[in-house]
Amino acid sequence: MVRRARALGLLIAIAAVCAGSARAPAQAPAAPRPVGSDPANGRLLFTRMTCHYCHGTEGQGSIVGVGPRVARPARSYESFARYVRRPSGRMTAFSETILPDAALSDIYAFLRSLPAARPVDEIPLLGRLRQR
Amino acid sequence: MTPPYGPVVVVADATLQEEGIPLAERPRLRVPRLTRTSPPAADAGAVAELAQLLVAAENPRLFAGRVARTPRGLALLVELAELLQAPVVEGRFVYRMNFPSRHPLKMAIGTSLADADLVLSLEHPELFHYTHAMTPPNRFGMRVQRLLEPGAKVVTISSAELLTKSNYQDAGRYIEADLAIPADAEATLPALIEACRRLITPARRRFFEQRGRRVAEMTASQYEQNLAQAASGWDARPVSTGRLAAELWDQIRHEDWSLVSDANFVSNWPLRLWDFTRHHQYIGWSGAYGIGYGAPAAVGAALANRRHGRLSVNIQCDGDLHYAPAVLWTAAHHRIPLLTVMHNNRAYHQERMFVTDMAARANRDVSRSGIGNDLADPFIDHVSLARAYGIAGIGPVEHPADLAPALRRALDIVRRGEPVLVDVITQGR
Repeated sequence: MVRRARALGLLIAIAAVCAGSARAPAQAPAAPRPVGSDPANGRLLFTRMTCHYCHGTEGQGSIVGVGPRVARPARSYESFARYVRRPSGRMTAFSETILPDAALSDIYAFLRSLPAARPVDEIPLLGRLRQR
Repeated sequence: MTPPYGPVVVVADATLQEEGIPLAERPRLRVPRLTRTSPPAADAGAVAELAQLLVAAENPRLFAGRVARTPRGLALLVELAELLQAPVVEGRFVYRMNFPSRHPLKMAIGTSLADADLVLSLEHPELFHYTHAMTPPNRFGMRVQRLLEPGAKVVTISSAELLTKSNYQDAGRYIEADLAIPADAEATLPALIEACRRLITPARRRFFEQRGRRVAEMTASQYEQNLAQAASGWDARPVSTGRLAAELWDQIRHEDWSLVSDANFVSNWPLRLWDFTRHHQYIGWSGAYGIGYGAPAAVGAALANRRHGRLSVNIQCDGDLHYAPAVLWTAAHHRIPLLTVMHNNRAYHQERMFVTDMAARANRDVSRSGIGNDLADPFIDHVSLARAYGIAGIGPVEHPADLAPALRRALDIVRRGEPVLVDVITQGR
């Protein structure tokens, strides 16, 4: 019951925000959103644009030679975008028609926001794999 | 079964099947003695020429395809590699259990051949794809570029060349080999090893030892890279295929185990992490991209393993299972011990990837690639499916931390001599 009441409260809050937006004056366009500012949207787009097919939902990578780790890219956004548009390897090329710059920059922001990979030595099971 | 192996169809017409044999003729009938055919080995001249090339090479690669037909084939390839201290490479489709996965001379799957001065391809049907780069199917164009250095030599030993007049062929693209030997590789290896041994001088042996040390350093580093990549997706949900393989290995490593499924669709993680040493430990790639092969092949291999008391492990793709799911009943009916762990990425994932490639190539919306390929809405309930066919079902396992306990429960069931299925919700690859 408490949960239902909280959900109802949230719905009312969302409705109020939406209603407020609807009443905002049309002559004052919102400032353009800074590029790469929305990693949460980037996470959604990473899946929607099928990046996770090869690179995994956390950008962890898996497939040899095809789906390397892409989480926490070291390269700049410009370099990242150049590669996505015109990859040199086996990767699918994503044009701006398919994947607009704003969306790509959010994906970049998502990948940059991911935590560092855990060191192997922190995972006992992987340590046991070294033993034969 | 005589090399070259291949599909065989035996046709007995209806009359032959249904007509009775007159009683008077029955005493004359006999089953002919089975003639064992010697596999075709290479001629001595070709072996001598190849041995000279191998001993003289600075940086050779032994590129293994369908080499080890039998356990002897594995032992022979190890002997050749160790004699020359030459690295062994396999492509991303690992056709047979050719070489111990953690041998110091075993390079990581898919290691480039580009820096080799001699490539010896042993029964590999796809050599061209590793000696050449081609425009990938997701781009326009048909560019082909040789990857090997100028002057690098290519030698092939392949019984597939003996198939070129049959109806069904697995010839691959034409290879401009410097020496093409149409013979069975396993049958040729003993003569090749002896021919090499005769040519190796003390100076060459010292050089080989240095080379072996360099290769061992590289392969140790490649193994560490695999561990690091497995760690990278360790806590991911859905469960990463690297973690799936690692957790599975941790629980079977002390058993006499056998992986009765292909590993390509789980990014070859078992082959990258586990310690494969014996011929029966891997069933090998099916040889095609057909679906529906995996589950029946696994049950067949598990049946063969049963009398040896081996633990059969099947990492089962979800799309593949639904082409012949009744094979689960076969396993139940015949009491075939088999651990089936679902690689349940809830899709025909290979097809999704391909459709994405094609959509992007045509500048179209890639987000619709799941249409017809996602196995969702509703998700398939594999646990109920297993139970419907009379085998135990565990799961679905959605959280990586739940995987080890689920596998422990499942292994208890298999050790009692029964089949079991664990449904694991996994990453795409």
